[in-house]
Amino acid sequence: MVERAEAVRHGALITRAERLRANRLGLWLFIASEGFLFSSALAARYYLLGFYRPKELNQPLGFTITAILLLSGLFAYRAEACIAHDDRRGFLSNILVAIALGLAFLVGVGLEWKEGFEFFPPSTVYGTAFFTLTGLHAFHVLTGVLALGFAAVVGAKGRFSPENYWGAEGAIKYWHFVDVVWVFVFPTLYLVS
Amino acid sequence: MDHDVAVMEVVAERVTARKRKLRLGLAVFIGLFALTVVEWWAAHALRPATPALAALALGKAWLILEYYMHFHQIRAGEE
Repeated sequence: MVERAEAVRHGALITRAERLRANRLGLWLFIASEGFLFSSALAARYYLLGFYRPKELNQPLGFTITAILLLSGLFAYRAEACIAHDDRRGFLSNILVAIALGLAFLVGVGLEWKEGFEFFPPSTVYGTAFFTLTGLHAFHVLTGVLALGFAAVVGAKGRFSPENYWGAEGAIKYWHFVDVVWVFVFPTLYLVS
Repeated sequence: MDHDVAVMEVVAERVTARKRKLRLGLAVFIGLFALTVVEWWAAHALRPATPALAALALGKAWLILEYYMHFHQIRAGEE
């Protein structure tokens, strides 16, 4: 109540805490809508192919890029923990490692695609599911890398503080969402049979 | 003098809280990696493997949502 009175006195319509809650809710709603998009793509894969999986699929590569993405999630989490405790250097170093691992993931997807075009091109049913799911996900990884990069630049300029780091938090939450999606895409494409 | 001590206590508290968070993050990552290894094993050892794979994927997603994405903030409405 005191905070609200203070905010109104300074001409603000809502308090910082209310704005943060609204930002978080908005992001979660956006994430939920993205979840529906990926759910429908995953459902289409099972509807079209059942549990079929081509023998040529490079499972070790799939496992490797999964580990890379999970590791990237850890560094993104560390970056958020650092900025929440006023450690700007820790934030920058961790977020840069997360970005580098995200780019390494994209390189791995590129290698997958090279093999995919050879063994199950997009004209095949499995190829359609494979390239749609990995392509859609890779696009989200790319936008996530850009969001993390933007947060890193803003953080380097010293614009985040333990009281206000929503820009970093939002980008990092989105990055974790990309992780969650891959948690379902990996077994769907590489493991079920 | 008292002020300096108070500042040092706040800084020490902040460092401890950060270390605790970093340890939690590492523990979650180890859990996620271990579940991925179990997924790999299940896919090759179990027939049918799909129910186990679905359960493992849901477990991994919950770990990320709860500990990395702080889903509880929305549930509890906390800052």
